[in-house]
Amino acid sequence: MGLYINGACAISARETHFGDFPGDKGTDNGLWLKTTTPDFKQFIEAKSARRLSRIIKMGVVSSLLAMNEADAAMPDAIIAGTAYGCMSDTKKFLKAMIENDGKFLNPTPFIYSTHNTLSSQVALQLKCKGYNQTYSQNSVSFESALIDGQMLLTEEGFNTVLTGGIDEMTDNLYTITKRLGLWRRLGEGVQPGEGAAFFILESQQTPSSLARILDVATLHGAKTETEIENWIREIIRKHHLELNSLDLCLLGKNGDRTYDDVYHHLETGLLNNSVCAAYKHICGEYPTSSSFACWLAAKILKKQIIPNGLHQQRSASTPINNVLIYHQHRNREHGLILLQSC
Amino acid sequence: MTNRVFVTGLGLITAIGNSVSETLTSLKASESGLPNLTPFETDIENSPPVCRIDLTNGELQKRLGINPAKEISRTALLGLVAAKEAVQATKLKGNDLESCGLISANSVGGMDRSENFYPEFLDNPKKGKLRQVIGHTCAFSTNLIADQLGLKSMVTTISTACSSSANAIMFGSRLIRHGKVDRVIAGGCDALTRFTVNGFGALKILDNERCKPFDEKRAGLNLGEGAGYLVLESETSAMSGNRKPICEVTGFANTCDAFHQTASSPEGEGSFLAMQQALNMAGLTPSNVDYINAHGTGTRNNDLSEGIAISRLFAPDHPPVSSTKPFTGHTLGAAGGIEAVLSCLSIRNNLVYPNLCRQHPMPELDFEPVRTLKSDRETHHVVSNSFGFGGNDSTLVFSRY
Repeated sequence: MGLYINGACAISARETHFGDFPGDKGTDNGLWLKTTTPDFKQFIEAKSARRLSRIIKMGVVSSLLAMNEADAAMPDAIIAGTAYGCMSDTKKFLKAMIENDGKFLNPTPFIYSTHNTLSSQVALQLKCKGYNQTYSQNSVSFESALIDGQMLLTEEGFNTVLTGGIDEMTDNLYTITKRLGLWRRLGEGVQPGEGAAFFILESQQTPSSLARILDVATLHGAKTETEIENWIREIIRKHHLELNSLDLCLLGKNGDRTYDDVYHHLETGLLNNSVCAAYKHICGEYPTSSSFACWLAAKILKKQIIPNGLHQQRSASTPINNVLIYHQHRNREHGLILLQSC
Repeated sequence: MTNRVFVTGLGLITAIGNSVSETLTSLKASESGLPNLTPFETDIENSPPVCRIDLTNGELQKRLGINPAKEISRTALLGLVAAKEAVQATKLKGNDLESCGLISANSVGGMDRSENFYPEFLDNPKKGKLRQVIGHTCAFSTNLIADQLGLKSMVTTISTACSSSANAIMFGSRLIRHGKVDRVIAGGCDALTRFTVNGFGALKILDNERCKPFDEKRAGLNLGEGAGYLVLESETSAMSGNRKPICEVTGFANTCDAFHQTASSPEGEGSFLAMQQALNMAGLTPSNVDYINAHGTGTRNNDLSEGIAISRLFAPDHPPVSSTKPFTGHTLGAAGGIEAVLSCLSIRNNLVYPNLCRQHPMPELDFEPVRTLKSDRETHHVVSNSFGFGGNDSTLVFSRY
């Protein structure tokens, strides 16, 4: 029994939602990479679409497209990872509360402000009465969701799990995070971003399988380069792999000199036999961007092609069998996903 | 391959006590243990009464050894008080503590601070004190707790509105069952915020008096604040550390009503399925259950839907049912954690807590909640329910070890 990605969809700033590799240039609004979305009306009834904020629509539609690709009718579980949750409804309610002094408040934005709005709206659209869960642990929100899905699929009654990572950038969030200095240290070519990537995970391989997830793990708190190396080494060994069998490593580099050193250390040391590449300059920097990296890795393993433009130092030889994703946020949260071709 | 999950530590802070023992003393005191209801000084008409913890942020920080001048989310402070108590009860330290996981839940992160940032900010985006918004994300309180306790492995946050911390205990238990961690601190915290008080006010589900769960004349909930955490361990971990299990997590389930974003279905389908599946996992039949600690918020909708679900599953021999919300208020993201601790205490002390403030039976239900404290029979298996926005229904089953 394994853990297979049998369908996936990423809504990003690179027109990836119908499964194509990222386009050359991202759509940005001058400040951040803003997603190019499919026509929501084709997927969501106009009546509910009007009520739902953009993040919910992105989540619902990417979920539906992932299900289509896997030909999955009804998941047994829906698990979302989101760091910021529903910022626009939260702000809408806060604003009304402040401006109206709490009188005559419309409860609708409050109702839609909770972090689990997305997973429950997907459940409502599908009439899915199964397990429903939402993780919100900054940059490892998506990994937390994956770990949950990985465990569920080994239990009785869970055959199909819908899971993903999603975050939306809003004007307010941009202004606040900019003032907090989050974007000041981004390197050349990396912009703030947003996106939604959802996956159908199943324990059985099917003709639509994109890749197999061998492992997912997270670590908390500051780690030395050696601790990170040992962690990666241990996980590789656990799956009876050699370091040089990692054909591609997608690293969460964002050009921040203070925190990118660990990636350079890995590239020139532990991972120097692999092709190391980056993804945040493609999808933008946002907390659940590793879900985009996971989508990219799954597509690469399926198509057996590494697209250009991932800042890879050299080209990989085929077949591409194993892909490692590693990222850290300010040496505080570390996430790792190991994928294999199938 | 599944490991058993033992509860070896408990931690609490609620409106009726700043620790596990203080809270238990108040519960045992029944009516005289109820908290003072104080008006939430906000802008809603008739400032709604809430169940508040009687310590200022400065006092909490002093107690925790954190500089009282620092501006930190109250949610994080409450969480740290309870998580610390749970860990201290186990005497975990060194490597055993470093490798201990933390699954913490909350509903609105550091909103209690960030809502103070917004008035100035909305007026002028260059204004507003950044230190008030820095802890806005749900992960902030979790990270503070992890760092203060010295935890270094799996740390994550769950946010599913009012079922959040039941889901955290579920995920923590699952991690142990699957051997992903040997021990984990799981639960949740939430402080009162203007955002949530106004939100529930706008939904018109706040009672202007003390909440009356399962009463025909119930008029809504009282919001509260607090935190509740369990230390969960595998059998090997508990035995090797010579820690005596308080009880065992034997079942859990999470389902979705998939009916409406905020309202529960009239037949309580989601809660029925959650209880049924959790009992199945525990290998129990409804007749094995000795006590149900209900979600029982006191809203028209919840108590009817949950009551019908209980009837559907347990009739005709309902076990004692009660809601402890009149004691603690509805603590949202902390509720599942607090009530899980109360469920463990029910097993340890053979207690069934009273469902206070219930005067008029609900004609739709074929059972009566327990209205006085019971300590005359052994409690072997306790069911704890937590339901939330989005139709999220979670049930935990605790069993005597």
